[in-house]
Amino acid sequence: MNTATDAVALAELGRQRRARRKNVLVLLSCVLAAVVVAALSTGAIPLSLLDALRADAERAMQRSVLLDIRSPRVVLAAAVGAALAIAGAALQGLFRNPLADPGLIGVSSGAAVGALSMIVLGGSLVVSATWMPYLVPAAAVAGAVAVTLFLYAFARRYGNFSVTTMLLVGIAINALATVAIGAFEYLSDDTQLRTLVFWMMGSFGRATWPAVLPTLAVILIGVVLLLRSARSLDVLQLGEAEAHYVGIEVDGLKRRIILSAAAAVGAGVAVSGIIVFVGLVVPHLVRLLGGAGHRYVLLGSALLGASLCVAADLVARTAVVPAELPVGLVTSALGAPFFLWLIARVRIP
Amino acid sequence: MSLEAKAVSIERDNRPIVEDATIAIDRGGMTALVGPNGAGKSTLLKALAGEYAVTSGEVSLDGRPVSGLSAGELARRRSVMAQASSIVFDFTVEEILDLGWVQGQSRNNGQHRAATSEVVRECRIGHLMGRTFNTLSGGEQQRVQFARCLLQVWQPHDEVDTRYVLLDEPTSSLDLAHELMVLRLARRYAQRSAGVLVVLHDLNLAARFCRNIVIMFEGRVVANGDPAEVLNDALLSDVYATEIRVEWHEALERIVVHA
Repeated sequence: MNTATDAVALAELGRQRRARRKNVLVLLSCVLAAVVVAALSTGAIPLSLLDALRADAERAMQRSVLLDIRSPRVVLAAAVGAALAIAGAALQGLFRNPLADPGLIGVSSGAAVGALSMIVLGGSLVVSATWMPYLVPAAAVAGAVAVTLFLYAFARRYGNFSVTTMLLVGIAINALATVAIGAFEYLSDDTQLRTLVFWMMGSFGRATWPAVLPTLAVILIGVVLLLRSARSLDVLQLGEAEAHYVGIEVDGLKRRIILSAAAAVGAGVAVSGIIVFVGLVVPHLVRLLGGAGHRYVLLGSALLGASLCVAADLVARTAVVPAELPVGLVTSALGAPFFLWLIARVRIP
Repeated sequence: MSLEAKAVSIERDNRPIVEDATIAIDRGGMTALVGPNGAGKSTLLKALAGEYAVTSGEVSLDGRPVSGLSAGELARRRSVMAQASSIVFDFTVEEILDLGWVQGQSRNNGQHRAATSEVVRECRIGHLMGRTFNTLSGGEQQRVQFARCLLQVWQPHDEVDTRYVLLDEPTSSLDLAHELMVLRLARRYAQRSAGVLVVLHDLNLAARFCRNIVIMFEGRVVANGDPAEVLNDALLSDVYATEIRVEWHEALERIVVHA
């Protein structure tokens, strides 16, 4: 073998890998488009997308259902699904741990506690009503950031980022969050109580454009920041010291990932409650399809996570018409068995 | 021009690990860092790499203190092969090797491809490139990590900007033949006017491949110089607390160390 053939063979290897990943991403985009169309067309009032958009008086009601009720809901489901999945993928990369999921390790609970404290106690704050819609998401993001930083500091201080440590700490954080949520339940009035129940199970049923747009903006920023850290996340897999040897400012990278992932999760939880397992299942499936490179895994996770949540929401609102299932119930029904399978596969040391 | 530690002391968790160590890695040849377990070899290497802060003394790269260089600046000038580390996700060998490319932002250009294929050929890992890193044996993983470490400082190579390579027991999982291959490659790389430091346990290999040997014992540098001077019965027996004999082997024409 001479240099030329070696170089050609190497280039071919890289080309094949990139081509395969591109194909998977195209496929996932098509799946997302199909699921979105299905979700927009299906519901209590059946409608055809093309018909509903035609501007005539008879179809005003259908158009209103499509544009004001279903669209924001589908957009929210897609955005939250993408946020949870990409945050899961990024946290798994950061902790070098395939079982990190924002729900399981307590990041979502932290966000929920932040948001709840604002819902229940925020009334006693002296702020004008116009700011309240922003305070709840802000508190959720703060809660998510606090938990992630704590997890990182704890793992750093007391040994390691092993699968076991992380899950055990997650159990403890979730238990603490349950205490806080229980206390808020005790403090809250009837309407607030209904909100609390919705938090614990997750739902996209409260989607309205004014609530969805700020969430969408925060999630988009988080997604873009995470995608820009993809190559650094790859390097981090060599180990923290090794990443530094290869020129990564590791502390800055960790801060960036923790903040972006927590912001995306927090913004999602603030409007849709706690939805577990999406961040666990999706990145794993994406890796099975095309390998572990983070640029591909992060992008693929966002696409598949969006599809999964839109589809789960479709099931949630059509399975028992006219009632609605909490979407968290649907994702957990899918995710919990998958989690068991994953534990068996990863073989926790 | 060298990568130097001057009167360096390092404490970890309030315990002195390295005391008053002075060594210089000059270009054009390999320096071996040897000594019994726990002598402070890896710690000194990490200080030279700019990873550990020194408690006193100074580490400098071509006259500039490493504490003042960014991770990126350091990465373009020196690479480090640490002791075995595992990788959680299923990256291919090709992807792992690619992580070593830090010369400029652009990848998949002619320079990148040429350097990669040279390193792959020299390290003889072409047949591993399509495999998943996690499915390789320990020795194969070590060879891939060695290749990644070489690729990081492979190009450009000039008289002004000397490149340095720090290897912490790079042959610990390798068979005899690959052990020789890695050390030959490292020496040949050093002869292209680069500086190479290698932590080794095998004193025969150190004597055979290195121009300079530094012996550490209980955190201090106790000898530093030409293999023929540094390796002597009295010093080695003392440092390793074992009877050791050093002989000149006529047929092999090199120093041989017996324990």
